[in-house]
Amino acid sequence: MTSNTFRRVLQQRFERWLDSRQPASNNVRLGQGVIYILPSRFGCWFIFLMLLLYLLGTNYQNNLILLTSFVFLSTMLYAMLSAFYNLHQLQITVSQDSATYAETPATLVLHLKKTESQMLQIGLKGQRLTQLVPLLQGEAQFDLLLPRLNRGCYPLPRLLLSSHYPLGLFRAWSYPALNAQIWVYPKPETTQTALGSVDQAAEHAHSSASPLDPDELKPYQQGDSPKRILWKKLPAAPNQPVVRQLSQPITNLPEWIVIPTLQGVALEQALSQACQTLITLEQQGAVYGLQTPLTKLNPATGQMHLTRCLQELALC
Amino acid sequence: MLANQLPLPKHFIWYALLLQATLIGLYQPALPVWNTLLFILLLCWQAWRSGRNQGAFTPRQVNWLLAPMLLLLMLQLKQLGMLNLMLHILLLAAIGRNFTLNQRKDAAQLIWVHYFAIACSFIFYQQIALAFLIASLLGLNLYLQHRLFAANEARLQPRRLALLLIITLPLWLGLFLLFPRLPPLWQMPNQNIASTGLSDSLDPGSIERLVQSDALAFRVSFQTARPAREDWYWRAKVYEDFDGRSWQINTRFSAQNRPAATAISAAEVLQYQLLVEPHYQRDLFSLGLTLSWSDPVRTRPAGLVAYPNTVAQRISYQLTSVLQAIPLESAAEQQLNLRQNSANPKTRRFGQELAKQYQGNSTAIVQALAAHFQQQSFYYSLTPPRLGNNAIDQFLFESQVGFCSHYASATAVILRAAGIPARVIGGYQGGDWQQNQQYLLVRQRDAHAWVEYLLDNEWQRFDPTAAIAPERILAGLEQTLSVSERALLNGWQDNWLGKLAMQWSHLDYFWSVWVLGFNQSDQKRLWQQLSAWQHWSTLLISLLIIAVFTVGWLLWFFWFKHQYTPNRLRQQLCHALASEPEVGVTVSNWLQGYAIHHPNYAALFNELRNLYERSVFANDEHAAKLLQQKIKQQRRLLKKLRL
Repeated sequence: MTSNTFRRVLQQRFERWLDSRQPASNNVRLGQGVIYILPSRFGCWFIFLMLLLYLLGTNYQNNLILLTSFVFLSTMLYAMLSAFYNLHQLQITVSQDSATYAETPATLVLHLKKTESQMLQIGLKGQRLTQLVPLLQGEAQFDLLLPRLNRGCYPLPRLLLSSHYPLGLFRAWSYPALNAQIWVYPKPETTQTALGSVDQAAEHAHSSASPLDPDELKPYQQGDSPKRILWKKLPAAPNQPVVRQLSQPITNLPEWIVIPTLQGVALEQALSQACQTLITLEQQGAVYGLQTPLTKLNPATGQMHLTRCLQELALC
Repeated sequence: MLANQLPLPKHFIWYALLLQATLIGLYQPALPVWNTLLFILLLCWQAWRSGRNQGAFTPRQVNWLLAPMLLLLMLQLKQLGMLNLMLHILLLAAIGRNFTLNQRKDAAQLIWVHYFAIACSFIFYQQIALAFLIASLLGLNLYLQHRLFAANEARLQPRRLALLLIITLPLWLGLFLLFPRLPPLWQMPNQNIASTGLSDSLDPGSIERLVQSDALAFRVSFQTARPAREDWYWRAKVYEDFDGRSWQINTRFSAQNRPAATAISAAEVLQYQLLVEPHYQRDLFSLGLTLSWSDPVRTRPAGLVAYPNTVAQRISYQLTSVLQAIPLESAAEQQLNLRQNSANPKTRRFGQELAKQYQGNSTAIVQALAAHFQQQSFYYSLTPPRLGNNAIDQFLFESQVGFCSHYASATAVILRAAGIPARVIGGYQGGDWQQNQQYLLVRQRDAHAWVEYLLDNEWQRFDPTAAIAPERILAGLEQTLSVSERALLNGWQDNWLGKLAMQWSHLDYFWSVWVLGFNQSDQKRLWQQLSAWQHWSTLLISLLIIAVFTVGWLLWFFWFKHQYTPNRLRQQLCHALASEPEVGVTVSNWLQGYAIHHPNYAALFNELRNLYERSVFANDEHAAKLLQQKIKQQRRLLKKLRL
């Protein structure tokens, strides 16, 4: 219990120290002050081997065995330098935030740049999963896998970048902090009710338009609601169903998606439905606005607007 | 790709198998035939399994496989000895690890065992060629280790290898030369190999085998002037117990540490270094009376020197001696060398007669004996007839053919019968002086035996063989022998192959002196030489000055480079124009002012302004460079212009 608390306190101290030393930024270049290096477990065994050989050489008064142990020592020093230079001046850039829907794994796109670096292990600090970049020469794009998260917006935790190159005797590592957010939007719900409500609202609003107006008919496309298929026309062309189109005036009028003040499962469900609706509306090229208990986004259209709306949903 | 799912590098297992096969070859001095076969069988099995891509065994299965073998080895402990058993276990560990190779972690353990096993083979082999072979095995292992921790796609770059050499070479060389050496901390188990040197008993007939061996015994380099060839008597053993046929070493020689000799007469002091091949005995070689000796060497009674443990590998040591008779140590020593044996009645009677004839005068008796050997028909031969029970009688009065041990043995018996304390000394006599390389090469066939007798409380050397065959002493063994006997000595030294071998032997000598023979005293001397060098302070001060300048220059360079570009450019412009814009005036305006003020140079200033603006506001590095060039070019002109 106490040891756990003690460890946590230490951990927090360490985090604070790291934060003051390496504040997060979009573009990190690993300099001398932020690369840590210590002998690995194998390195410790290697040191033991050197001592053993020194003793053996001394006791047999055998210069060649002594020489071997000295060569090992100098090789170890070289390995230390080499391990350091494997990370030194590595540049990591993050250009955009990571975005995903809840319950789907996310990735964050990193850009790595270095003349040459081998066997880089990249993971999140405190996570077991590490990914490997076997050989980096020049620039490369790297997809960092992130764990599954609940809806919300998270700052990217510190990365753990390590390598055992070139001889496994030393582990060089660094904790770069990148300025990026992980957005986790609500999971889009594909229930009938969600679609139905929009469609019904739309149809209700434009019931005055004649359903048989030829201008408003278009061939069926995947994703169109089966409710809008003109069944009467189906026998005439069985391979080419025709649907009623939601014509111009509908898109001209902004849709309002309102998230009521809810809590718990109900809120999550409402958000999921809203998410699906937003995506559908964006696909249809509609103009839509969003109102949540916290904020209100005026009607607009386009990918940027959708992203802002989804981010609002994530923050609800 | 995830980090913990890496497969082993390509061909890793094959390299490992190759390495282990070579190791089995190298370990031959320690491996009985059956064990060799067993190990090879295991290797073949593993090779077959890898060829068919069969997966690794679980550790449990391997334990079941190896446990009986380990037990088998333990049972052989008595025949093998500790050292060999350890080597067996190392090999078994390496070969067994092959079967469980699954992850890189296992492979790293294999690499570790390999390193240790390969380095251990230096216990057997220190010759230059094999040392390089073993070093290349270490290199191969290092390469395998690198492959484990490097990307599969990456090639080994020659540049990196060169860098590795350049960085590590001075390091390990310096460590080798300067890192403190310790004496052996504890006694290590040694090889059970039959000795090839002088034996502990001298039975005339046992040297014949040695005489035909061309093998190297030891090499000597003299720091002082080299003594005359007649004085090259390398003492190694003193035989004092005689049983009527053979001579044995007295038990008092197991005691150690004689006080250092103090007697220094006018005789010349000799300083020399010896490089001894392994002969699996403790005895070392020395000339005359030893005054001081390098560290691991111990002294023994009768002026002998010895090694603390058996010499199982090439060693080197330093001695200081005077060519002087060994003083008598105690009355007991005198009594010890007067003891007689009931065998050889004729010889003893001969001795008593000599004593009577010369009234016990030792010098006269010895001279008479030498004259006796010369005048009678005594011959020197490597192939004397076999002798019966009263061997000395038979030799002296019947066969009269023999080599050094026959003569020495007979002389000692006669002298003792005449009441003069005498003993037989075993060692080497002579050697081949290598004029170009300046060292003395002593071979096994230079093994020799002679006599020491007591005169005025000093042990005088008497070599009866010199009386019968003085060329043996002055020119080496070859000259004294007949043509057919000379053929007995290995006779291939004269052709080109022999010369090549000789050159190789010289190379080996330098390797031995500089690499294998480098020891604590050499290191101490090196330290002393280094500290005695007078120019240390000059060197240090000049290095310090260079360091200060370099650091200062680097600091200035980085400070300048990392300065904010607009500030730097502004500073350069101000410096060139020898003035500064007034407060509130931008650099652009300031330059424009110049352009207006000096219409002749308006084009120049407009260009400067343009470049400045481009480099500062558009971050154009090329423009910044051009601006700097321009300022440099027009430096003289700019200095003159005033607002």
